[in-house]
Amino acid sequence: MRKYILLVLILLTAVSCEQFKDIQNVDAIAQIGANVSVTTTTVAADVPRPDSYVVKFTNYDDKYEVSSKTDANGKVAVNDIIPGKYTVTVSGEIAYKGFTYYYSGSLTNINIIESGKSYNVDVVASKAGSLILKEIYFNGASGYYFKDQFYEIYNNGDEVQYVDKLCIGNILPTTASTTTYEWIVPDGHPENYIYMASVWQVPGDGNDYPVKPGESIIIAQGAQNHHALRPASPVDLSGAEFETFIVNQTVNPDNPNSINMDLRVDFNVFGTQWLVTVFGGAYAIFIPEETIDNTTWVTPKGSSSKAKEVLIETVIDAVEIVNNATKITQKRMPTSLDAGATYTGATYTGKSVSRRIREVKEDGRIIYWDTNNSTEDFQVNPQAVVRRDGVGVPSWNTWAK
Amino acid sequence: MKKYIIISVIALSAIFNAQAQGSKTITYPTALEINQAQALWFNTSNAAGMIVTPLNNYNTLSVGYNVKNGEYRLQQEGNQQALKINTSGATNLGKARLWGEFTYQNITETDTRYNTTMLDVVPDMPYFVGDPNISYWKKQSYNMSVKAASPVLWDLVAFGASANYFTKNGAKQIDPRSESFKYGISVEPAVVFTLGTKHSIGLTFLYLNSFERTVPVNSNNQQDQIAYIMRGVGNYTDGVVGSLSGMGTFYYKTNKIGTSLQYNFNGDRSALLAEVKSSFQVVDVFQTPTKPRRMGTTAQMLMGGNIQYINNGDDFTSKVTLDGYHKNNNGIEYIQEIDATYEVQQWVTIAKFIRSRYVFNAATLKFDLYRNSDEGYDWMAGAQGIFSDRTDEYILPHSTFTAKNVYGELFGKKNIMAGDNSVLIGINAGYNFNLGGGYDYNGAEPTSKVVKDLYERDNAILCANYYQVGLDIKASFPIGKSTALYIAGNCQYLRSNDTMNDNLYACDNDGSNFRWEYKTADLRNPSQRVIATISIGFTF
Repeated sequence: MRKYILLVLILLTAVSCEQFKDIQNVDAIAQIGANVSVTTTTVAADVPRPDSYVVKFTNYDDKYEVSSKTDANGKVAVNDIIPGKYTVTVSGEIAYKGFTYYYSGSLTNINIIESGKSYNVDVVASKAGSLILKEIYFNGASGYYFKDQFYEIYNNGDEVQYVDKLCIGNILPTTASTTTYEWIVPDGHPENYIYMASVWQVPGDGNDYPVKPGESIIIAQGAQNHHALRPASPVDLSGAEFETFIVNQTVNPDNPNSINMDLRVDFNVFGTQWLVTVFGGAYAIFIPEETIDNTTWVTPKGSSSKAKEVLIETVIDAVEIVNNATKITQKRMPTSLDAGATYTGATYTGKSVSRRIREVKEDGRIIYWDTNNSTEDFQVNPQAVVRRDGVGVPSWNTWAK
Repeated sequence: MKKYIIISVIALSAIFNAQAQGSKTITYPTALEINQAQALWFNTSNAAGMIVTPLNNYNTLSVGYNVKNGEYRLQQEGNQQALKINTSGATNLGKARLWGEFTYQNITETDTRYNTTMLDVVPDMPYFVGDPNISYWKKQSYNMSVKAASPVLWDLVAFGASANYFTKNGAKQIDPRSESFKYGISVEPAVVFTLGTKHSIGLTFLYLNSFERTVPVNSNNQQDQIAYIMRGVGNYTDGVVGSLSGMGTFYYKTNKIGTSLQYNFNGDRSALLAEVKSSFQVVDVFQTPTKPRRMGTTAQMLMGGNIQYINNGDDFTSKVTLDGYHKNNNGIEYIQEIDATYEVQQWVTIAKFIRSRYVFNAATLKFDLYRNSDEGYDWMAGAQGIFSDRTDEYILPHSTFTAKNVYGELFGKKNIMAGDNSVLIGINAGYNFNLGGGYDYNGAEPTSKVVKDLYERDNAILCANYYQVGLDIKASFPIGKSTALYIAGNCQYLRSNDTMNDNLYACDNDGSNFRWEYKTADLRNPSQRVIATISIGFTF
């Protein structure tokens, strides 16, 4: 017995010693400095550059933000950083020959813990005019109702866009978590892709579904008047342009007016509807260069999860939605597509996320924020609204009320 | 575990009782009190010293009911009702001395806020989960302590040890709720060297190990609940209880080591005992045992000491006690990232920094005067002053929470004998004078509930002047040769209607809603609190 007591005492002492050793030589926190240089290596030489860029350091854990402007050479030194994990976002814009060019770039989840380190952010330029995911209603309504999910895609630019062949889907992992995947792809460059769990595609031959500047389309999980079916639901989706109707099932009815999307990748589509997690998915819209081959897929190391790889360069817009603020550091979408994340914080509340208004043109057309950082670009709405802000309905939609 | 505790307690009581049979008369409350005051070594960390100034043999067993009610309280404290069963005793075991105590409590706390997970909320632990919902807790605790002292060997040295084991469990009863469990054990070997008949010195070493585990959950699993992952001085990270992404199990691992040194002079009528002690404690806080993520660490250094001086006259016994300590607690936070390697998938610490400091200084000076009698004492009177100075600091962004107070109290008791029956009546009156303090928050959420509802209100409470009066009655009735039944009641009343910095420590007229903002006099009642205890027990 005595030797066991002695052994226990030795073990306890060893454990406590380890605990005491861990906290030796821990310094008190102090502010540090960091240098950032902004480069434009992938931007064509004939595209004009802004005079300066805004560099923002965001520490989501501490809710701490430092912002500064670069000099004309794209360099800035910031001295009041609290050591921690930061997302560094760079933005800039310049008006040139009637167009506005938006520059954006970011570094996500970098550890800034030593003073004097330098960081390079390579920015990309985009002309205003792309289709954007304007509003996403994913978290369902009271009573565990989730059939009223919808996605609104808006023409934020100056030219007519055709949504024929436009794809929408969500990537893996379906929910933000500490679980991550090491994808294995044929070309050996997993960093060039996002990995779709499901993909739906708008039919059409290339000019069937025009969307004018200031107009939007609604993609409904089910194009029904959900508010009438379930009063807790905030939306009537019977006028939706498209719906993700699952064929060969009778549980959810088909709205004959709404155009059915084509299910191209169904690795994460189960049962009678396209249900993306009410905790918030990571969504992308893109137009594939070729027909999607759903007989091939990729899997991550050590997992049987299937996904369709999609080249990042074909993605038009992407939005990361996470469960709550604590999950922002567990985002899934590559930072080149979305440097941040947005969230509603709870499920089955009828809340949605939508882009913030950047400006209203003289003709009343609204331009929304699109800096590829959904933390900055999006707002949380107490209730989802179809075509918020009174944006336009495409002329070919004759059934919308 | 519970059954072993109960068996141990029964065995302990039986041993003490068997040892005590036929050897003594009635133990009156006054005799117990004065004996504990005279047993200077018993009031130190050194168990071996019990052989130098022993407690008389005694046994008690009591059942009590405690109530704490009223708005003059910290937000997390709530109101409380508790059933308490206590037994303690001291006896000889051969030539050795033995003392033991066991306490069971069944506690209901109502109207608590901003504590989702902790069984005991203490300022030393900034890393916990809070929520704004008014809630209530159910708790149970078992606490067992023993002290043993060997006889003095070779006229030179005595050995001893004290040990404590406690376990506590509880559950918060409103979403977000939690189920929590805590246990701890401490051992403190001790030695006393007697240098002649008047001088002795003592030395102890302390080791404590404790573990607490708490699981936040929701009853309504379709309604996520907001929670705050606290980091000190009003800083927090947003959290959610419920859903797939909700907070995981929190657990706390505590290790503590300490030492103390005592010197005792025993004169013919007077005695002095001085003690210095220090301890070092580390508490590591983690979330999710299967993929541990560090939520913080506290490293606490405590240094303190006390001096007891007693004069045992024929008619009077007087005692002066001076006690003080300095506590420095560092809050360490970690920068971590997930190692996403398929085979690993674990949180890795990249850096760690001291982000917050919690310094607490306290000193107590107490004087007791007893008019001796055969039953212990006829009356006693005394006074005490307590100084406390709390400074909590979050280093970056810099925020402070401070409170400095001095409390003075007069007290007295009168023992009335009616035949063999005794009625001990005591009164006390005190006043707390605030010397300064305030809350200066410069973090990211100055308008948050945590800042406005928790820290600002708590600071208002801790920086308020208040007065306290109390009444204590203990009636003792012999029911056998060496057994007495006693019934005791104690009631303390605290009241503050102080204003400072436009804060008013008052509640609505209906008493329901504590206010910290300014209101006109006709709309308020003073903020007050009642702490009452009633118990029935035996001494044998």
